[in-house]
Amino acid sequence: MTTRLKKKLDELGVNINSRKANENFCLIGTPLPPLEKSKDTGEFVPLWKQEVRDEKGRRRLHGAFTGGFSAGYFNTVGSKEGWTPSTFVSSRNDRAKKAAARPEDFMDEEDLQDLKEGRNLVDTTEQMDLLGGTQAELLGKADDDSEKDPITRTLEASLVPAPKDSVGARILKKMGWRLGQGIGPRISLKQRKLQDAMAYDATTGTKFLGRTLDIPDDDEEANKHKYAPRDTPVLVVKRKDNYHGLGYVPGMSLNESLGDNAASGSDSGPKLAGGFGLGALNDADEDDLDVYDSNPTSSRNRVAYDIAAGEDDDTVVIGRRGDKQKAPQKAAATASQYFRDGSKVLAGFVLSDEPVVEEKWFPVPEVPPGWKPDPRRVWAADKENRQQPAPPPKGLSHEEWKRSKMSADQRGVILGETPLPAAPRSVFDYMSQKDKERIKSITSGLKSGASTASGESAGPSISVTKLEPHVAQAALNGFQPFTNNPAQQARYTAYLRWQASPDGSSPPLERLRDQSIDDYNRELADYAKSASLFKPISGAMAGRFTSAAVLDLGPKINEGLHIPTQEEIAAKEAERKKEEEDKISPKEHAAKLGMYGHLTRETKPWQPAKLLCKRFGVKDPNPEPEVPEASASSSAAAAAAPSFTHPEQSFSAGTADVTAPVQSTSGPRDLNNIGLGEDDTQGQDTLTYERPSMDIFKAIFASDDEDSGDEDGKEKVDDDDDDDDPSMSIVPPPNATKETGTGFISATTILNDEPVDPETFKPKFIPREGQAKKSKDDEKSKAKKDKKDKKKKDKKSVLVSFAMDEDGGDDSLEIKQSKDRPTKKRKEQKQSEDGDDHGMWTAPAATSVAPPVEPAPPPAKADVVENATTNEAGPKGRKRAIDFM
Amino acid sequence: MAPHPSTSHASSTHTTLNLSGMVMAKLKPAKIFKNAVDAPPAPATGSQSQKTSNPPSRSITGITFDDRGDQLLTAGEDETFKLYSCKSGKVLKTFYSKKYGVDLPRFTHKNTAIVHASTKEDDTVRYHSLHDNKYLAYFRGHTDKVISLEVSPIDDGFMSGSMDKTVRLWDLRTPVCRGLLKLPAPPVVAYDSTGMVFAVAVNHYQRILLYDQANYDKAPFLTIELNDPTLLTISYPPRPIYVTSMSFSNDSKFLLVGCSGDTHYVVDSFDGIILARLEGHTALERVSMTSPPLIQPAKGISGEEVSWTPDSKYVISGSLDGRIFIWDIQSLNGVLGDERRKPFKMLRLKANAVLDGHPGPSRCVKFNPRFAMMCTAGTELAFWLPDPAVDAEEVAKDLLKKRAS
Repeated sequence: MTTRLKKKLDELGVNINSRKANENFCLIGTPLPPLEKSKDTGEFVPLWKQEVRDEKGRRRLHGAFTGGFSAGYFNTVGSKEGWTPSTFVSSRNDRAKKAAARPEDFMDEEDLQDLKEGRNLVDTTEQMDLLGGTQAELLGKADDDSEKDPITRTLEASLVPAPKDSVGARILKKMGWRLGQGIGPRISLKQRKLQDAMAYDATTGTKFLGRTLDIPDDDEEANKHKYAPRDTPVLVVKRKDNYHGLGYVPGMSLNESLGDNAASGSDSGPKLAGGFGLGALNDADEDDLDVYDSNPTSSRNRVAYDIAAGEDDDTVVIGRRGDKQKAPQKAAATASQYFRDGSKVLAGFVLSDEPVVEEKWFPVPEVPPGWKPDPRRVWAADKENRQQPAPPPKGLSHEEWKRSKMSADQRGVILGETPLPAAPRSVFDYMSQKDKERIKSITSGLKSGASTASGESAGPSISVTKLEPHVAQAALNGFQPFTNNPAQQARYTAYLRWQASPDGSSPPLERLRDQSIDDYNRELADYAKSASLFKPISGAMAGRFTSAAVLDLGPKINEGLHIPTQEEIAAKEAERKKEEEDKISPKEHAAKLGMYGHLTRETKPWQPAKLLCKRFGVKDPNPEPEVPEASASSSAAAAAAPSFTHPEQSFSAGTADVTAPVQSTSGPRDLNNIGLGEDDTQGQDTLTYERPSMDIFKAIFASDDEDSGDEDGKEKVDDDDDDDDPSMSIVPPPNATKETGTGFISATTILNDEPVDPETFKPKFIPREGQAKKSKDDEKSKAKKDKKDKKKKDKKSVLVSFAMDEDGGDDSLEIKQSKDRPTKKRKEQKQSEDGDDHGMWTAPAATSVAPPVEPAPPPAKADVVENATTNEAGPKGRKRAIDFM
Repeated sequence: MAPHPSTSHASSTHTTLNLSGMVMAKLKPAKIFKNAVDAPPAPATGSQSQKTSNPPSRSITGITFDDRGDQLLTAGEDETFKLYSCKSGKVLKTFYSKKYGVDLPRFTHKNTAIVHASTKEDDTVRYHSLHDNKYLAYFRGHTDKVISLEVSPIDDGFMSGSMDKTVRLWDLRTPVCRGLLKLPAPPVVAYDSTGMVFAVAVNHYQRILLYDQANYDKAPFLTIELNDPTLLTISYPPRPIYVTSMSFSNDSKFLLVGCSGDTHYVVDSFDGIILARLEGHTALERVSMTSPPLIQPAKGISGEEVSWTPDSKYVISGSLDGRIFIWDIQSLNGVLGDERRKPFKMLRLKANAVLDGHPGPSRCVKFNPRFAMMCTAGTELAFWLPDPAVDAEEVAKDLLKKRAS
């Protein structure tokens, strides 16, 4: 670095001594490429610069996976044409062409390679072993495969490459082990013989009868050698997948079950050489027999790597085969066997070769003269034998025995054993002498209570079991265990009293005359025990239990089969009869005596349910409550709960100021007037809702509906005018306003579910007639009308409907127009009212309406009709009802 | 009076089967229509968007059997109604009422014609012919949603109750209503099995008014007050009973009052005494199990979930948790005794059998009027049949009898 540069840098404020400033910027020569080009140099690379490449150098994890924009077509999964799902191709014609998709179709190279590697893993180490198991096993199996004929087997063997032993077997073989030998160091002949002798069949647990070393003991040559240890058969436990008992083989004959395996070859006929058929009529000939076929039932035990060695033993094998060879020949000969007397042997039976062994009879031993049977001697001898082991107990108690014997420690000392270093020390060892004494005194005090136990056993002297006085006192108050036996109970209490008074104020419990001392002692001990057991629980627990009054031990049980005596049966019979007598009512009694008539009859007033009357279409025989009340229309009726005399009133109750207080005073105390105290009218002024004038509502809710309502009001006025009542013309306006008022209110009741009194709530249907025209009007003129109107129209509609009912009540469905409409105008009005197709609030009776309405002068006609509506029980109403039916 | 429902699985030989407790408890869903509501064929774009917005809420809202019990009609929130055959358990036809919506389907006495309420456009009751998929008549008049619709069991009359607080009496032959009843609260209506009498329940007043069909313009001849004293033990003031459905038993002795709350009631129809409260099911007043409990009783999705078996011995009800509850009502026969007017203490009945049912709420539960088949519906539709294993025992008994004879 030049001085000039230094100076300049210094001027710029750069520390010249720092490493950076000293760096050489000149580059001479071409730099070598970095040693590990592709490897991670440990440099920090920002996330977006990190790349993932596969082994071929192609970039992986690009595009959508890393947030880049290279995936698909502009970050879509599709192509330029957009993503196209696989289009529907009809498979109707080229069904066969349709190739089934394999999973490989959807795999990329890496996946495929993974798959390949995975496949390689399966058998890179193991060689093909098609039939499963090692060679030895296979050979063993071959023996088992009795159903395979030899040709198939040889074919199989030739086609299938020779199976290889497992690695373990190969290692063992390299170490000098051979098939059929046991594992371990070689042993002498003697040892081997011993092993053979000790061998057990692992599966059956019986003595192993199979292959042993067939070398005589005294063979000198043999003794010079050492032998491989005996092969231990592997215990192959067959999976038990049936429900048979252990060891049971299904389908085994009785003979087999007795262990006679040899005769129970699965094949009843002779074994024939494979490949050549046998005619159905031909008997097996000697030529057909397969001489070289070894018996499949030879040895079934599977021994690891054994059988080949076993078969090696020439003598054994040949000998066996020879045996087997004979058997079929014999079987073949059965066809032509004869008894000695010339008669033919029955088919299926075989003449026995062996002569019948005659039973041997031994002479009875001679009885010495003068011998007399003395069974007692024999018994005594027998007893002696049996009691030989008995003496040791000898009535020695455990403690005595303990005392008589030395302790383990003593024995140890005598034997010169070193005492155990850390003998477990008891807690008492760590206690001070004082504490020990205290404990001793306490324990001795405890023992004194039950001290009698040892004394009792000592002899038959009276030993009174003592009880702590407080315990006895408590037990006196507590549960009485002997309530079933009063005598015993008395003695028990006497005993307790005696014990409870330590000063001896109470007399001691005396021994019964015929009671032995032992019994007496026992009794006292029992009492003491039960007293301490049944003394009432003290303290907090005491209050939680109640003692049962009687300890019920169930009915007295007679032992054995109880045969009731004659008297008992009679008594029971009498008892039962008496019970029956009691049960029989006077009526039944009368019936028994045959006095049918008024004595056996019963009269009850019956009143059909209303529903019943309706269902049978019968007039209610006693419609008492309704008719009088309806006509009465008194305030008393209002009080009656189910009356519907004042429904209108009730509806208007919340609204009409006049009626409300009346109702509240007359009505019973209910939820509505709770909190008002005695004064029902209290707070009425605040509760009573002053209805603002209609104008205000109109101003706020001015709409078609209101208008229509207004119109209705006008109509009403017109209606009144029609009637030409001069007074009418003055009065109607208030009437009309009032009506609109009530109408409005009823609407609110409807909307707010406000003050309909459920007690008097009896709504009625409005039959709607003459709707044909109305329906026409309906569509045309009538917009929806609010419910508010309905109320107002109520009365009128009632009138109208009733009037119409009279006309066309029967066939309401027909489009009929009543003939006698009062005036045309009225008709129109009616229609308009009907036409709006809205419910009229036919509060059942107009009686309640009457008070407010009647003072106002309604048209005479209307009045009449109104009356008709008011008393529906009236003749008109009745008629109508019948008409409807 | 009580018809003997017959098993449908023995189609050729109509054997009758007495519904016993065991049979009821062993009802098994024999056929389940998973896609009963979603209506895969060609949904309109509008409904599709609706579907995607709230798919779980779509369920069957009403089911009805025809008089012969051969066919079943379901109405769903997907604005379709489907006709099923009860004998083959297959969909016969699907109808769309996308314009008006469909609710409260009721077969008329003709098995190809139904009346149903609308959910859209207006509150007209519509008379539909399934035969040619045409509307035969509109019954206009209600100004708010129709919540109760019943067809008279004996003639062409029918009755509708609406949220506009009116009950209207109709006749299928005329498009205008025959009678109108205005009430202070939304009503629920029911015909009794003789058709002579009908009942109108007024919810907020807990009253049921019984009217004479012949004199329907007269005041109710009997007013039943639903006073459940047990409710008073739970809260004060007692939670009001919200009646959502009513039905008379076939023997006309009882009136079943289905409520949106946790109880249904069985009322003696003659004296109006509450005989029993049926408990155990979960109320349908909430729309789903996850929604919080309501303070005020509401209709919720209740209304079609409780009904009688045709022999009037059992009441079956759905539940919000999808199970089906079965109460044995036979014990109520004659509980009132001879002096019927004496005070009677209401019984509390627990369900005799509970069947595991739907994944969602079981909204509609009905028993076939003629066959031993139950139909339940929620988001899916299920046909239930008695387990033939029950029959096996009887068969064995019969065989034994035969052998003995």
